[in-house]
Amino acid sequence: MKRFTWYHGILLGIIAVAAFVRMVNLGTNPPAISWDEASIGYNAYTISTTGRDEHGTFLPLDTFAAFGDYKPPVPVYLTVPFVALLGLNETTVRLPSALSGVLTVLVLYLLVLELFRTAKHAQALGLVAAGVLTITPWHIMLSRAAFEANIALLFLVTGIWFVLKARESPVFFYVCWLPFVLGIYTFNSTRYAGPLIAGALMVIVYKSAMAAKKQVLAGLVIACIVLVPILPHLVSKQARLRFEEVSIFTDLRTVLMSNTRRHIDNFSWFSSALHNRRVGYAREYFIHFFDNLEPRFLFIKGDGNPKFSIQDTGQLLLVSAPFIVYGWLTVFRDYPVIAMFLLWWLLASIAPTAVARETPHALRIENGLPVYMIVTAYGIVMSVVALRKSRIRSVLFTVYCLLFIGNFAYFWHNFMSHYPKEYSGEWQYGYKQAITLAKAHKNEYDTIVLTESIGRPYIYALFYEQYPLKRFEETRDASFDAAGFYNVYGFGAYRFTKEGVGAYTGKTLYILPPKDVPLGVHIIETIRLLNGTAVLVAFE
Amino acid sequence: MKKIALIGIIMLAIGLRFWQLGEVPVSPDWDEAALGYNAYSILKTGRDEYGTFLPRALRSFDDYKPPLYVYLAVPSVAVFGLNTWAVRLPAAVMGVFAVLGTYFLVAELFKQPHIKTKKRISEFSTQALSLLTAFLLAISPWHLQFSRIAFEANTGVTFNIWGLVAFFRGLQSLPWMAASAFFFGLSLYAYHSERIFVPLLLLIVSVVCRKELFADRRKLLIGIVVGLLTVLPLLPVVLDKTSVTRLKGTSTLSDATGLLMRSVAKLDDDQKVGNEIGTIFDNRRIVYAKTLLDGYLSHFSLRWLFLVGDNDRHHAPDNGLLYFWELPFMVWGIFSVWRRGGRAAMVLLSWVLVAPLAASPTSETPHAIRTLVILPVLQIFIASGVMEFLTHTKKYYEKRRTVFVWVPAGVLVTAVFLNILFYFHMYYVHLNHEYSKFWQYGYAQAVEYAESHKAKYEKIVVSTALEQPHMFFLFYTKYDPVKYLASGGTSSGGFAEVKNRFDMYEFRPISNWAKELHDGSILYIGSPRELPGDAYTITYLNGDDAMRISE
Repeated sequence: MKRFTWYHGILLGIIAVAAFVRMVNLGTNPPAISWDEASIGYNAYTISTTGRDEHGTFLPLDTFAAFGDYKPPVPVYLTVPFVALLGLNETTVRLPSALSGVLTVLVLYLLVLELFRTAKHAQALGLVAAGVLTITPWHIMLSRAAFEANIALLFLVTGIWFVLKARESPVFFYVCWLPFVLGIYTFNSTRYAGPLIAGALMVIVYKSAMAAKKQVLAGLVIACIVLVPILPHLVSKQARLRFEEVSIFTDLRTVLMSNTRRHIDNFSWFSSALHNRRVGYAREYFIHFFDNLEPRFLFIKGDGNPKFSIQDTGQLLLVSAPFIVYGWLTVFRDYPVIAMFLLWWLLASIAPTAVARETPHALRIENGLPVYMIVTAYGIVMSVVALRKSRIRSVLFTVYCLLFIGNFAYFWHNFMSHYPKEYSGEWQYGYKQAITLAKAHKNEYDTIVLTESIGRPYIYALFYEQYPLKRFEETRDASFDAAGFYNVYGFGAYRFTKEGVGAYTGKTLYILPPKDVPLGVHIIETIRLLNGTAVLVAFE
Repeated sequence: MKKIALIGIIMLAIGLRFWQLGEVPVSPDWDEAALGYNAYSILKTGRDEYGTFLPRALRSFDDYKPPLYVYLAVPSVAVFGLNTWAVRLPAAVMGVFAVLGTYFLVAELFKQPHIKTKKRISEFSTQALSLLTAFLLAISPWHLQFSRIAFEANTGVTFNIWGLVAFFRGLQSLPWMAASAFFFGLSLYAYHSERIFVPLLLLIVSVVCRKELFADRRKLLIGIVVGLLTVLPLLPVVLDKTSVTRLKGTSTLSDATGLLMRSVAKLDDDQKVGNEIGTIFDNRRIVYAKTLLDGYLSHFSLRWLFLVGDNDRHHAPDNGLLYFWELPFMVWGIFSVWRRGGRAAMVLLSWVLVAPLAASPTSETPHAIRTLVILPVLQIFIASGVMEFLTHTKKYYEKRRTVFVWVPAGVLVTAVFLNILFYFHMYYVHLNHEYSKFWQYGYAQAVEYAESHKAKYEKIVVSTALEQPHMFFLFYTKYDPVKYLASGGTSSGGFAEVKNRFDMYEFRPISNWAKELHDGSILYIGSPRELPGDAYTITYLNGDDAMRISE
């Protein structure tokens, strides 16, 4: 063990800050849990109590059917111990992602150290990269809710670090592919990005791998064995359905446009080649690809979905923009091989997600986030060490620190003071309050009718009631629809509806959106979003 | 060899710019029509459509167009008559000069030897680079687009290029320095963006070449004197309050309510809870700064540059402003120019950084015209990237002539060729069909119809919903400017637009079709929405309704 030095102290400080910004008020900001979080939480709960998921499958290893969206299994299992030990609530559901976020900061430091191990400033690079990741809005936002992507990122970074580490200690070749496999069990887009990045790493460590053929082979065999349980799911019909639903290649407009143009060209042979629909789709693909590199997305406003960005800052800090440019230039100058790898890493994280219609997508391309951190760090460190005089160096570095801290403070203020109020509606806010109300009045009513207007109320009812799986299985009225989605129409005293008031048995408590409330009913309570807009009304 | 290549490139530039100049894009848009008719008016009367004698800013649609283009169009209209081709001619000529100027500019920029020769930098021939850059500009979708229409910006670019060429030569010779100052002065007359860009560009080159520039004070002096004399007539216009009006009209910051809505609400909340740091962060100045930066950074969008472009009038269907194949070479080129260092790197990299400044505060960002001043820097980068690529792969294609070399090389060349072919095909064949709407197609047909039927009517009413119809009718009827000015010329500003009339044409909104007089004495020309029922319909080239004509 190396001795404790000043940079270990700084690292500890960085990790403490990382832990603080990722875990303070974790249960209340973001202000409510999304349906995916509720689903992960409730499935973890049923696993911990009965060993089965909400559909009654015993310890699924390939996938959790959940809403019919077939969630990857690892995030649920990682949530199980937290739920088992600390109970089922917002904080425990989010802890695995938040802790992964903190660990990613640490592992990124180790990765950078390993990546630039021959560099004079490796320590500085590692610390700056970890420091920038700590305060980057992108990573903070995704660490503070139960996002599978954020857990997958930890596996990816760990995997890369292991492979690089194996150059020195071949024993790592036994295990270095395992994190990539775990990534496949954790998040959809990692299923493609992970292997692409691992493949590039193979090239980088080719020499060391040739010298340790036994370990490499054994490691690959182990990885393949671990991969076996999920393979049937990866090639299944359900996985394909989910893909087609979001794919750009099912967009007919491209084909129609190609036909119109060929018609104008009198269907000549060259027209069929130039206006081939594959050309059109290739263009669409690249448009979606480059959406993810839009300056506005990266530096100004972030992802249009307020779940992934507070809309006031970009995914990255604005002040990092010049360092990213300078960092790319200098890293290509100093370490072309590393630079090529970083570029590949970034492109490989975007490439699989660009086939989807929704772009840019901060969640799906999170796998490429560390590249920006490493390049920013390289730009910062190189622009400082380019100066000869140490006094100017420290002044400049202080100025940089102030810039980054100021930019982070801007994000943090908006996130803590304004974000919950502005965007509580984006987080399905209201169901928790509705279920709490229903629980309190449970004995007075025969039926509780809850609206589906906010989305998937059944999972919130299960979550906040901590409803036993057995009773859910006995009383539920549910089915899978043609598109493969799981619809629950009611269980126990609960009935879920998209409609207004209807014919229900016995005394009925309605919790419906304001527009569905008939005149003259007895209103028990109005549930409001944090910005004051009424979202649900409870009445008899 | 070099000369033949250059002549070939110039021939190519001429061919691409002049072929079907009046037919693609299919019709002049309102700005082109306005420039054309004002040139015609100045030719016949010395005055513009408002009666201003030799204007230094063309009021036009109250956008106060910079004057240079209209004066360039005067001789062209004088010789070839008032038609689309003649109005676009100066842009095409200027486009060809830009290609030629680029050849000399690259030669000047890269003449300087390496400052420090570091390893891994490949030497490349300056001459090949100049030729390649000129070639790339000749076929550039961005440059071709604006060389083939009567927009002012393209002229400014040409003067920037020649101004720089003259500047670098002027470091050794007085006449060239005077020419440089004159060219830069002229570009201020060419386009609004130039008035912000040219001073910055001059600052950059003066700093970069400070030693040579200040070594001989006479050069500095003659530059300043000639420059000042050139721009002197323009000064009252630039300092006039109308230029502020234009700035406000196009600025994102002018919509303060929409922009500040969220921050005002936040500020309220901060004050309620006494959060003082919050009141600093939710300050409107931060919102303004972020909006400006957003506008600036939007021009570094690869999606915009290589795939989609912006306004449909600024690009060919399914094409961006640069060829997609150029992307990797541009990236490599930026790196190699930066790595090479010296004068070229300093000038080109700062040029790229200041080029979007004039467009940043405007409301339509990214904007292909307001940032046109970035040409031909990107082409220089791309050419450098291609040269680097050729140098790095030399050892493969020169020594090992195997299938492993020829197959990838063949694939690459085919891909590049197909990409260029695709653009030309989309531009010359499909642009008219798909984008005729954006080129305000239909007026030629409407005027023809009106003129051939006008004997039957007492009055012809044209709807102002068709966007500045009076200008198109003046343009296509070639209405005598003397008569037009005698009847009062154009009225504009506020709601005065509805008062425009000449000959038997009247221009006003047709807000209620049922209430109009339908006794057969008035012919109406309006948008499909305004004229329901039976009518003579003019369609866009893709078949959609453009205008309707009825009694």
